Amino acid sequence: MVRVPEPLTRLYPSRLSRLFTSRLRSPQLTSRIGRLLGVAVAVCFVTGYLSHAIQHPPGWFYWPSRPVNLYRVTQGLHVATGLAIVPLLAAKLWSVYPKLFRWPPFRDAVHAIERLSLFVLVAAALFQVTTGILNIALWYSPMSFFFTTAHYWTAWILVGALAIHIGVKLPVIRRALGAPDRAAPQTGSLSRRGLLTAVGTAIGVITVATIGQTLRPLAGLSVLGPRDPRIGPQGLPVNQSAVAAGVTAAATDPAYRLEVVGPARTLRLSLAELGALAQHTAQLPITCVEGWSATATWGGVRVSDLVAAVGGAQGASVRVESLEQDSLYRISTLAPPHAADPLTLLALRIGDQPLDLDHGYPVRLIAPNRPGVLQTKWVARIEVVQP
Amino acid sequence: MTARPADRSTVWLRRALVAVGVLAAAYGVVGVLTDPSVSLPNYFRYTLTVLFGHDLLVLPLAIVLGAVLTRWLPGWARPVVQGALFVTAALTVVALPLVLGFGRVGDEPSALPRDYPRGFLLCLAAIWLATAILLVLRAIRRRPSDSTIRERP
Ligand code: HEM
Repeated sequence: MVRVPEPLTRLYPSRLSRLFTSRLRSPQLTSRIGRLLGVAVAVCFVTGYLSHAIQHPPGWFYWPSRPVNLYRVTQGLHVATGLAIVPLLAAKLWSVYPKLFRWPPFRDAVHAIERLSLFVLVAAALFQVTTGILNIALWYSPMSFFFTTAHYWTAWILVGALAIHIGVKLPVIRRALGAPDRAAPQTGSLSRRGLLTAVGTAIGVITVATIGQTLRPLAGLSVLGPRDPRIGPQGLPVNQSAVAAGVTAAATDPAYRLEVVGPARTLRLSLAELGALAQHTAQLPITCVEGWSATATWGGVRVSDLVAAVGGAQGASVRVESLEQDSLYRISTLAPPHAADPLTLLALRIGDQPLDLDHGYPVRLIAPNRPGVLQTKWVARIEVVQP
Repeated sequence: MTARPADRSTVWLRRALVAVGVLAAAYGVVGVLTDPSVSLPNYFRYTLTVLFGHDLLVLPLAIVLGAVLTRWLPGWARPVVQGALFVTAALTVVALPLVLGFGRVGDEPSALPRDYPRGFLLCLAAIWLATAILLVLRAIRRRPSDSTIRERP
């Protein structure tokens, strides 16, 4: 028989998982990190589903217009928690990595299915985290699919696979979390507490480096924030420019008229006529689904005043259409709570200046407690939809 | 069955978790397969790339790199450096797409407005400055008591 030299025998599949020598790996460690990871995934799922439901409301769904900053908090939390998953997932997967090479690969059919479901779990987790990071970095080309829907459906796969995983491992988790906290073996390398501290520190560093994109007081510290709430035309960030939207000519045309369509009449208002109506101001944030947000003082005409002027009833919805031609977000519908809210404006100004072209000149929608993609810019037409 | 009530409730909890999980995951899988805006070949290519990229490339590389970089450190210093390397690695995952900056487009100066290479370096400097301070503190703390005991190589 041929004797395989020593270094190569170590690579036999049956020995592969013994190459991993860290004594830090244990069900205790995996369960502790897993518990945090489970909470983080749950937070992301709930806040993410909420954002989806606000944009595509199912029949049973109701979303209020107050508190003004609620969506800002939930979506800021979604992105911050998603970024915090990076160190949690890294540590979790490291802690179970040798199991990937267990030999024989499965005991029986049930075990084989369970292991397949683990591939789905890991793939879905990596998918969600990496696409989320690419999306906030506006780097779409590696994702040659539509981010929004793919991220939404994969979220269901992730929580489903995670529920299965917790169901399968429940006895291990219970035993591990119930066991007395033995001091991990001290052999001149990281202890369990040390690793958990490192995970916590990583979460802290990542959070401080990015959260200023929505928490303005920290904007100076957040050197990796994909947005700076202080930077942009008129001190406010922009997601899509007028040039990119292809509306420059239409928006600056002196013949511009805003069409207001209601059950009693249709109005066609020039910019001067809009400026002559009762003006109001509202302090409201632009809140992007990407997790950044910034507050501005908007001035303009109340949507509820325009609805009343064309004979719309209380409790009506309002369809808002943009001058943009081919955009997914060309039209948004104000649900009754937002349409009736006195803070909901067709804004003509930021502070006391006319809107910048990139902020939606001549007229943009701004309403409380909604994602920025629904705050239609370059508004051409609004239509009252009776209840 | 002679299971105690607590065990029986565990059995049902596990079954419920697996059943709910299968339903939710199936809903997601059907969504991915039927939603035309998810272009399936690209979706699968991307998913397999991140899965195998992580399991067979990034994670083993991180393990080997961590082992090599901390190999010649004395036992009292190793845990601190290992922790700092972990923090560095996690931060790099978040920072890399920003540092590369492929998401920038010309007509939107407020999108990705910062100097991200500089921001990344600042974060690294903060992490490793804190690490250096921790190491100095550890070195000072162990000197008085350890002066007679020699560390084994
Ligand atoms: C995104 C979420 C998660 C991913 C991707 C993930 C991944 C994995 C993988 C791949 C394994 C190896 C399983 C095997 O080969 O047998 C594992 C084991 C395990 N996971 Fe998770 N997991 C996640 C969340 C959780 C959560 C929320 C918990 C709950 C505390 C948890 C607790 C455990 C336990 C106890 C083990 C077994 C460890 C052992 O036997 O030493 N995991 N996980």
